[in-house]
Amino acid sequence: MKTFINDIVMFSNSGDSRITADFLRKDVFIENLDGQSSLKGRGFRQIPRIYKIFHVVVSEIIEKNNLYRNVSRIGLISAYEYANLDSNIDFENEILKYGVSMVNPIKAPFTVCNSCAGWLAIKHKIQNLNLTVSSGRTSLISAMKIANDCLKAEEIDYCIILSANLNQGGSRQIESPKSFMKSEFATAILMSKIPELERICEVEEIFVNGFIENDEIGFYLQSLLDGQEHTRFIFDGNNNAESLMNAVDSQLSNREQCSYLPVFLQEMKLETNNEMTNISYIIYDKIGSIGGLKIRC
Amino acid sequence: MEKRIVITGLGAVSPIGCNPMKLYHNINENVTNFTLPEYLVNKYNELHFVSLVSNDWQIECDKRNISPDKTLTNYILLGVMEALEESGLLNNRKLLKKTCLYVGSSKNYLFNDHDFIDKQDVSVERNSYPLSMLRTVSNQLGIGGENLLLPVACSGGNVAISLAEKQIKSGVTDIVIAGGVDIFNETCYAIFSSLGILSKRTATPFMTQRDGITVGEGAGFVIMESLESAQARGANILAEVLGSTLSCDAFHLTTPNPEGTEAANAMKYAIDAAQLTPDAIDCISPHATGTKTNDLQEANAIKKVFGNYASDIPISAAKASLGHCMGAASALEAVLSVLSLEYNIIPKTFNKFNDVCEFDLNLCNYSANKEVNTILSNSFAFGGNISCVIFGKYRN
Repeated sequence: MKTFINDIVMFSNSGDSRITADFLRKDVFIENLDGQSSLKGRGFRQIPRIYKIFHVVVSEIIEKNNLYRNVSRIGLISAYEYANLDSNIDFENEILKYGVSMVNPIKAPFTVCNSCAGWLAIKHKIQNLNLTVSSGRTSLISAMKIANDCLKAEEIDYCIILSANLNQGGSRQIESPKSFMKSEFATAILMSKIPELERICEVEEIFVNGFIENDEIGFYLQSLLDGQEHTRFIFDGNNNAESLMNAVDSQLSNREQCSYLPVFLQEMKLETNNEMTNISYIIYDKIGSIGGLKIRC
Repeated sequence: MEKRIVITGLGAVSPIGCNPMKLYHNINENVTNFTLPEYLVNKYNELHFVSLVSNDWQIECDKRNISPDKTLTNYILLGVMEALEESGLLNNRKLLKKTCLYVGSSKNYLFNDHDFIDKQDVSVERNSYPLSMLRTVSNQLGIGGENLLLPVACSGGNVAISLAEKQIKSGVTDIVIAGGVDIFNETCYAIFSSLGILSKRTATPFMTQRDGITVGEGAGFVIMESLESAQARGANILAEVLGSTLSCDAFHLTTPNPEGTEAANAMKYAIDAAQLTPDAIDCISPHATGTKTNDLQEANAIKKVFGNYASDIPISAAKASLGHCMGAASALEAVLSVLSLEYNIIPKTFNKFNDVCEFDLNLCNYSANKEVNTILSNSFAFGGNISCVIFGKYRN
């Protein structure tokens, strides 16, 4: 059975990133999101920022693709690199400040990572596959792999995969405690097995693997090379990891750099590059995971 | 023909035993390990019982040269090593290289936030990265496949098992170490305390006097592999995973739908996936946390699925003995289910206070000695997550 990537919705706050300047085509900024018309519903004041952002992208992708008739066949997977650290820190600060007996119980469920996907399921009445994945930088591709398997197993017809890159208290300090602020974005990707639905590309293969030694990366890259000609290789990696970059260079002479998978998909959606046909996207996490996505336009 | 998925190894770190056999033996002997967290006495007006990893932890760690520090990483390491030892994979570097590790948990970060932020120390980066605890274990044991952390809270173990089943069936991999882990800390105690769902005594699932959960901790793991893989290497097959389902009731963040409609649907889908009928299920390992609403919805769901048979089918609620081990709960229940299939003894539901069951269900009040061929294991979580898995006796 074939599966497809049908649509992508993105929000970004960064004026200097490729996302906003060239591809977003929307004047939506995450920091100002509370004012958006899509968030006028009551009861949102206490809701963490990431929930609101995801609510916007999920609403948009469901509306654009007219999926409200099919909610019983939709799966929802959220993918985090660092999960909802802000909610945890907020809850713990409240305990320190007011004591356990005075802490706001409304904030308790937000400390649990999968509450976000659950909350979105409640908002959109999605009573099917509901998962949360947190596997570092390969989280999104892991989520897409799970979606791909569930679509092929005919458990769902559509799957919405969510991912966000936010400057949270904890994650900011993990990345760089002094000054660095990442560009923020949130994205929703729609995958399906419905051939009639408008699509960005067809999925040929998704893999995620671990590697214990850096030189093993070459083995996985080689598997992407097998049987493909005239393929573009998009590499999402960290230039500082010299040994990994060397492994990539030895395997992929025609590789290109890319910031994020959603940006790459957005490029394809907007057809900004007509040369794209058979593409392999590769991402690695410095902790020891490598993910790959083979697609055909 | 669809691939058959079998279980060839078990690992358990629990409040009543740090290996699978000890856990199984102790639960059948009414052993519990409920204690009051005295170190929190100055912060809380009222202390509630918790269920912490048992004293044999250090003995099991010493046997395997694992640091006895009680950390998430060490809980995973011991659980995974036990499971690999039983399956005969521990020193099989060739197969381990292709083995995946799926872990469910409610912890999506490893550090104590306040300590970490105060220090502003980049050197802790590797330890604080969520994936790093799995990579630490993988690197130590030579596990080369995908590492997947599933922060789906209390249904973590069953979700990991269900995803592993799908991955093996789709041919992506042949062997997956699947399970769940969680560790007790003050934040998690505060979460449940603020919600007012900690039991004033200890958890008594399905009973009339039930008043909440007892927080626990631990880790549980099963080695899942395709039948072909297990047979090819002559592994001892303990049980089979017959079917599973993942779902969401989309009702409320912390409260399940009291009607149990979606939970019932999930159980039905799992039974269908296993190509069984409800009357072919020999035992239920319920989620059964001991809260008013959770037990009500599960009892209603069981009645919807099993009809008149609901009052006969033995139900073994492990949380009455173990407490609610959160991400590890369903994984430890999976370990108990596999052992029940192997030894044909269903663990009793510990009834410490001699309460009466509220729902006309057959809670095992003794270790039932009967032929057990199939067990349905339920798990639910915050956010409405539902995961049901059916374990069956392996038949050639």
